[in-house]
Amino acid sequence: MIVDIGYYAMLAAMALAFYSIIATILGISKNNQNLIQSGKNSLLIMFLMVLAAYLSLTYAFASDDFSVRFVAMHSSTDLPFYYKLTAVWGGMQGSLLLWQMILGFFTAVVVMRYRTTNHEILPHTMLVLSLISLFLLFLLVGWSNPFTRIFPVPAEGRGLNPLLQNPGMVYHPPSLYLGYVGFSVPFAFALGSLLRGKLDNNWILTTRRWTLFSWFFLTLGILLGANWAYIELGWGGYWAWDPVENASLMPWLTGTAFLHSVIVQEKRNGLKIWNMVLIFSTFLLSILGTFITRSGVLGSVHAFSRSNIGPAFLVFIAVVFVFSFSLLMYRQSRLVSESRSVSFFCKENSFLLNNIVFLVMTFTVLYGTVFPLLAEGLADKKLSIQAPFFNSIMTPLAIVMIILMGVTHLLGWKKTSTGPLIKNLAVPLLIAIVVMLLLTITAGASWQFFLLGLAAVFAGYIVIIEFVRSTRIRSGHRQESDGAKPSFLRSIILDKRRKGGLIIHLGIVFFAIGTCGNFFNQETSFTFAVGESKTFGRYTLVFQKIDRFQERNVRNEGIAIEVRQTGKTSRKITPVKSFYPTSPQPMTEVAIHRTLLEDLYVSLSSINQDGTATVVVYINPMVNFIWASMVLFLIGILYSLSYKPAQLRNVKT
Amino acid sequence: MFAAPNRLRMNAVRIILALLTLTIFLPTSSILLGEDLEDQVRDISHKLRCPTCQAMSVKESEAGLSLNMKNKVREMLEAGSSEEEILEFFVERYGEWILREPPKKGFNLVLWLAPLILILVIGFIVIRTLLRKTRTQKTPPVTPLTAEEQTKIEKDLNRFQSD
Amino acid sequence: MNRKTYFALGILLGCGILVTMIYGLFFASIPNEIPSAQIGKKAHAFSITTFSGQPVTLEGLKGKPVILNFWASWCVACRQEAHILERAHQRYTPQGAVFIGIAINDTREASLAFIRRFGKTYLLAPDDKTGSISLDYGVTAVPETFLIDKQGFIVKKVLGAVDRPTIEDFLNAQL
Repeated sequence: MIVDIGYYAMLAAMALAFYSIIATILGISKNNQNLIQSGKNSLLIMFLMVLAAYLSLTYAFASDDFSVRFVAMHSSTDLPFYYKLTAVWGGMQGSLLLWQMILGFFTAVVVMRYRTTNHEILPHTMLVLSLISLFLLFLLVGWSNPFTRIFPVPAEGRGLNPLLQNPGMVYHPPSLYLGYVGFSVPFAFALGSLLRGKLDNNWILTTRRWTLFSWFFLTLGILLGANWAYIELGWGGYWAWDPVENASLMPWLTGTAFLHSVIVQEKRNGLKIWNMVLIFSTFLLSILGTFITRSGVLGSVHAFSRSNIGPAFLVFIAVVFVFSFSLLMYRQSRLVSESRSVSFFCKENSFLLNNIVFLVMTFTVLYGTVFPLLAEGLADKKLSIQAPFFNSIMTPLAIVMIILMGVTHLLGWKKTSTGPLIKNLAVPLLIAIVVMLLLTITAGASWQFFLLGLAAVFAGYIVIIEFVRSTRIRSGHRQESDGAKPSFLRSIILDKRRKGGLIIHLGIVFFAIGTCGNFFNQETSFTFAVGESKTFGRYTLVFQKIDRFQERNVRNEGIAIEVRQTGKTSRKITPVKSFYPTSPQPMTEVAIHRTLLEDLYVSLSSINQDGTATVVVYINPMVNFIWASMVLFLIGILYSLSYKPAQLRNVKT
Repeated sequence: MFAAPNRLRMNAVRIILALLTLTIFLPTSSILLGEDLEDQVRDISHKLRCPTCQAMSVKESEAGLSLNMKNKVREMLEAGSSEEEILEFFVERYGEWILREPPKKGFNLVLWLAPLILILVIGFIVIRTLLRKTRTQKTPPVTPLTAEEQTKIEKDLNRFQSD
Repeated sequence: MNRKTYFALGILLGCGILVTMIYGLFFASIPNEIPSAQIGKKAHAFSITTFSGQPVTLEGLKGKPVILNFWASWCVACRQEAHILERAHQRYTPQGAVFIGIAINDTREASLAFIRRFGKTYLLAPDDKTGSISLDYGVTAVPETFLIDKQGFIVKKVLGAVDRPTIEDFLNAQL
């Protein structure tokens, strides 16, 4: 019954999206405000319908309604309740519905939020958003309907893939989708203003927060996915350059480039066409990512079943590509960037370089990801392009990028006087070189470590100094309007935009330091018996006993290990093999002994018949810096979001 | 720009930062273990792709075939084979597919060279354009501010920039 | 390089990606099926001792077409093909073909149980301790079947459960 309501709600949502498109087109062509308003209203109702569909699918999961095929394939009665709720996005149909629900929500927010502003481009923007909705709803109704019934009704579901029974499953996909879908709002505004022919900077100012918001969630989603892989896949790493990971990285790269290049348009009226190209690419790449993930054209760790929605996605990508880029070409003569008189060392140019490096990075990731197809098509060869290729090209690019990130903070718009610039660069560079030379020589590490660390120290130094300076200028040299000096606390929250950027950049530095740790990863593997102890690095591992215990729906078979470290209290960790009722193969659940600077990461290979156990042990230094960067991104983005551009403060258009 | 005590304070911050960055890295330089052979086995098997699990390297995988391959690598190393010989052994049997990074020869150069060529071409265009722009649009020389102007500007800035 | 050239390049790139994706979706092989690097090459020599204690070498089988199957008792698709292989063996071995099954990553007991359960009677042997025969043949998963002609060259590799027509076509042409 409730499932039927969900299905009909989805149909109604599709009809409403369709109606909204027709009403908006007619409204625009006849200049009829009532029709446009009716189109907006129908989008609000569409969101409610999609929400109803989503909730009814959730209800089907919660109540173990195995008459729904999607539920029967992705859930089972033994599943803990909260995983039943998240199992909704454990398969393609459900995650498309989640996608559409988020898109519907954002569309509704756009309609409500800009009731009084943006009259000129809003109808065109709504048109773009409802076209995307129509496409997704069309897929949901026609190709991958989550409400399809199955008969006879199975007594038990197939169960959720054990890999997905992890807290990562709760946070990673929604966060990634918030990012992906969030970028469709700036995309819709960009395309909308092209359609309308209103080619000022309004769309960029209006969508600034959307862009920041989406960037944050995309970043968070990627990092949470990395964290999930680290905990769940058990090979000691967090990023494998797998096609699906690359698919999420590509829109991140172009999105980050966009985030920076819009500032040039906002401040200096430049890069107008380029910004359009970037937001179109970001949107297209996020759809392409979904296509790669779901169609199975490229092999991947992500055990998504191959599905038949590949062709539909491809058609959609082609249509969006052709339409948006030909419209851009048609309008290009009116998108004139103001001629800039700039010197060689200025912020404009550093942003340009930043964009170019991001572009090359995106190209490399895309090219490497699809190259196996090219090799097969052009040379009839089956090749593997995995981590070594990506690392060897992306590491130098990342080093350049991080150095550029540091330098940018010392540059001014238009022109920077070279004298102070050289002085400002020399100190951090010198410090970075000395620090890294010392570290590289004492640790006997490679020149790659030297360069990556150099970039990180250099940029980190500048970022921190600039942060201190921006606080100090506020508190020491400036006065409030009433003449009083702002307090220290107040100076922390002043100048939000600049500080937000600095904090996020500090997060990038943290991330870079975290990746530096990879050069010092250690790994060993040994077999030991109960009572025996093995030493690895600074740790002594004592095998205490074999430990069997039941946890939720899972039967665990593990070994209790005491980790001893001179001068510290010992800790107990338990790496296990987990047996899920619905999966024939056991899962390896690693145990991690975390300290601030390194992780002791223990993965149980096997418990042997003679009572001994074989484990693989890794020491992963600096990993926590990568997770810590998420916190900095959050703080930084809150700073940036709370800033409102001057042009928007008192303007109502 | 800054008064003398402030500069001193900035320098103090600089020194502290430098020291901090140093200490952050120190503990990572712990002693490497003396199991050279196993390290070599890991090193080589990390260059091979696991045939069963595919997304991982042989080193990272615990599938039966990967274990066999690791044993084979160890056996060959003990028999005195070099890394190239071992990789060649697997390529002969599994094809280039087994290498996680295609060798830089023949058709594969298309893979390796494209990003490099892209970087070179873009770099060339950009530097040329930027240089040309700076050359053609030389700004007139700027006369440095007098002390009076300087204080006036700072005062004005203070008034506008308290957001 | 003016704006038009940049646009043209961008569009070329976009079309390139689209064409690649269309190729990948409709024409390329399945990504996780790895073609053998050994088709048309001389089959690697091996010597085995069957579960019943009979020594066999590939050298000694010259002049006979060989169906070389890699299997394991824990593999599901191997059950599917067990009867197909056994029946083909009953029919073609008298005509001069040779059927060999090599068990990989398996225990002796489990292999024997599997043989009894499916009534296999052709030449069945375990791989050696390090699995070197399966590595020599570039086995990527079980089951895999290699068709070796009378001169000792590998003609074809079948991934997954082998079907009757494949074996029959090959042997009818060889015998």
